Amino acid sequence: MRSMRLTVPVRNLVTAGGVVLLVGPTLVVLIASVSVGRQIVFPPHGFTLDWYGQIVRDGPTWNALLHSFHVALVAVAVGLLFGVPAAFALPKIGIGKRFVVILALSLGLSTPIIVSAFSFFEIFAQLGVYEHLTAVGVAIGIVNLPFMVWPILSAMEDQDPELPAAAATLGADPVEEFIFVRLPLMTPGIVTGAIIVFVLSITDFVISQVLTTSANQTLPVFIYSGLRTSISPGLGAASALFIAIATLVFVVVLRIGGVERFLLRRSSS
Amino acid sequence: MHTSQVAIGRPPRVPFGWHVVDGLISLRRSAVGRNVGKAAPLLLIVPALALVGVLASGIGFLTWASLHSYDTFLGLQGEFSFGEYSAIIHDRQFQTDLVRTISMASITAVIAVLLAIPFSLVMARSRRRWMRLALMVVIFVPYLTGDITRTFGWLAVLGPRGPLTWLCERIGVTPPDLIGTLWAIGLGTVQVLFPAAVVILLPAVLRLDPELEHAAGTLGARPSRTFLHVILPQLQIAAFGALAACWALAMGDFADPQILGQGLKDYLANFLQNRYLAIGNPPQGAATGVILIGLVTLGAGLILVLGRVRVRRRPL
Repeated sequence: MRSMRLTVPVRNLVTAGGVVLLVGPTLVVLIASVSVGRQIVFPPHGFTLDWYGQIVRDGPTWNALLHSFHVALVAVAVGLLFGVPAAFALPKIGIGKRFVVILALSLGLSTPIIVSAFSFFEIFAQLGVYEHLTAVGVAIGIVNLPFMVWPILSAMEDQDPELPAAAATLGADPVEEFIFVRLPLMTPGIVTGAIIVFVLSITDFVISQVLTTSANQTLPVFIYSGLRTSISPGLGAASALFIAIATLVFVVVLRIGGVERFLLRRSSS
Repeated sequence: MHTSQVAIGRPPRVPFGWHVVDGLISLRRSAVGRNVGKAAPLLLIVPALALVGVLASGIGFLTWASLHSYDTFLGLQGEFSFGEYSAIIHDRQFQTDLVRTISMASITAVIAVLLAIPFSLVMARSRRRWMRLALMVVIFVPYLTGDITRTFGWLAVLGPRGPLTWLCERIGVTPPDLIGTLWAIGLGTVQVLFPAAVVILLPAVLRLDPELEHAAGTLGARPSRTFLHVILPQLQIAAFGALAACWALAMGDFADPQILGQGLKDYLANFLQNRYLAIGNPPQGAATGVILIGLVTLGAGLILVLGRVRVRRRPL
């Protein structure tokens, strides 16, 4: 037991360092967003919520935020329309086919994101939809499709395999069994997937900065253009907005409970 | 099943929803005879595959563009050639960025995995639920807040008059100007890779057999030795899996060099975009993209294969 004192602190130290690395900069953004003055200064001078008011009052910032919502909602719709049916059907096909399909659906994740961005750039130019916000949303939806499919698959893995048989014994038609037994059990997975896709899409930077123009840029691209001139608390407030969205979403997802089970699962991945 | 109630006495009012259900049931029954039933799962998957096909064909167009000569002055595509590839391979800027990307990706990926192993051990072994939850929230912060908020945070931390400067002045050291250096890019990159490594490692950490560690302890092994010879070998495959994923992510990193490197220390991803947009030579950008996909696939595959190699251990 003597040497326990040696290694466990090392582990805890690394973990503490990791926590600082992960959340430190985010905390600084939050602090900066409520400080007075045109420049970010540490320690901060005073306290103000004025920069948040600016988001609503400042036309370009507000427009960029609306564009971001447009893109994110389209991406979620893409996930719901295409990802959800595929996730339902995946467990019903053979394991070899399933592997190939999952691999294919993860194309956007396995390709370097900048290459995906310019691939969309090429195909959208061919299709003549380049610079449309809806097209940008579709592109981001495709890249984030796996995040829609995975939570549903993991929700289905947790289901009791005897349930369809039990429902059939009670006289349920397969349609009824689906609507009243399976769908309610899958809803947490669908909601979790939709929320994750929403957050990943509203904060997307790499694809948006390739596919949007100065007229329809999303909030992350708008902030980026501002960053090149100055690192101001105003931009901090706009960035902090994403922290607020992420926090809200995380609370909802944790309440649904899927993430904890998925991460701390014992089965092989 | 509800129809049995309808048969007795005065027909009760059936809620509209049930008519929809009945309609769906008869639709399904009529489909059964026509062999649609068996193909149904595939019919649900095909739309998603077609959607991903948009990206796949985009990659196809990209590859196509990279394989043709291009007149940068007229902006016209010429005949089939490997000219763009040989042009960028002999390009000084490309060579510098290639070496920088590969070395930075390798270093940051290794650091991220080394940090993630103890972190996931602490997370998985914590007896307190709030602690596990807190660490889990922390992991997702960099992902859910997105590239911009994340890098903005680093700019604020490392920038002039930021917390780093304040800290250095307190200690009495000259504050370093890290923005635009590999240090800033490295910090930002490790911040995104580290959570990915934890997520991949966690299932393996949870599968660790505690009996083996107890056995090692009983046999007199010190915890550091148990960690190296009992825990680490059990995590080998997962750790290499995490390394492969981190390496692939770092190779394609765009936001960190773009924002924290301020264009002074570009990766291949930034080189690609510059060729496409700023320099106006899309085929060279496309060729860079194809090379990047090839490198990432080969490298990550190689790391995964290495992870399966059984190390012959010396008897202790």
